[in-house]
Amino acid sequence: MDGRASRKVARGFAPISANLTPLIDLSFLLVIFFVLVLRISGAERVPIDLPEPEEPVSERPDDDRRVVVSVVPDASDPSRATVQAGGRLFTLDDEGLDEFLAFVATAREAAPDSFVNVRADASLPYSTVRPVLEAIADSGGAPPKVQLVVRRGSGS
Amino acid sequence: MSRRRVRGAAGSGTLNLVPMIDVVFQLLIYFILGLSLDMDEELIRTDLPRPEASAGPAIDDEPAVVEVAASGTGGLAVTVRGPVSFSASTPTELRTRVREAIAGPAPTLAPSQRFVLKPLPGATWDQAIETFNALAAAGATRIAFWREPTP
Repeated sequence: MDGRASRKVARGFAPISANLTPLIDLSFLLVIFFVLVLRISGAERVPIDLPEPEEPVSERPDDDRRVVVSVVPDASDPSRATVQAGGRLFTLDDEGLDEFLAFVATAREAAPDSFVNVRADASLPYSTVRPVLEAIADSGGAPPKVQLVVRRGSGS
Repeated sequence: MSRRRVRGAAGSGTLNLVPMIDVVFQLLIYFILGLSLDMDEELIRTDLPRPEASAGPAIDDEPAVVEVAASGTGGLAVTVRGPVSFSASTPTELRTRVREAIAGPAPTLAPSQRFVLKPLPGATWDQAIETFNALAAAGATRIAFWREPTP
């Protein structure tokens, strides 16, 4: 009798293990997804101080095809800037602007319906951003569909 | 004797997965937070003039030229010239004046009025965008940036 009772107790403590394989599979898939999305969006979203207008008439971005152009001030001289687009860096001299124009023209030729999203630092002089806008306007084909990127303030 | 040895070898082959799951979840949280930080960006649609459009004669109506300058105190100084002429020192004032001109009791501008934004030397991108946004908020539907006519 004593022997039977002790056997029952031993069976009651049988190890219960959860199968963690699906959880680990799913977690790794999620990690891979977020790594890829963050890499893509990181290339498009260069950290700059975007304008934050009062009562903005802006809209949430949707899934349209787009070319994102960022005008980033130089760390040493904030009145000067470089242009970042498609993972490339363009200077704002004649040669750099020609290369940028060719880049935008090629991108728009490949996807004529794509939008050109212009992100520029709020503190930059307009005269620094103007050549970028003009290069986009001169990029050939149908008139470019340009969107200005702003930041919606927390209060608006 | 040999059976016992086999059992012992099988029992010792388990991996402790808890630290790996910890790390994987930490990575997930990091990427989710990193992704959602910049979701406050929005878009204002605009319209850039082509060189031929600004230089050519195909202008159907007189545009209202909106000059944007930086005021002495670092604020905004906007002057509107064309079918209507006035000045404004804040985006709110500009919005009110343009809204009155387009949709007030005695409108002086058509809803399809063209506005050409002309930031003057010294004006910043922020001031240009503030002015653009104020015009759009007032009901203007045709706003473009000024471009010097090509010779």
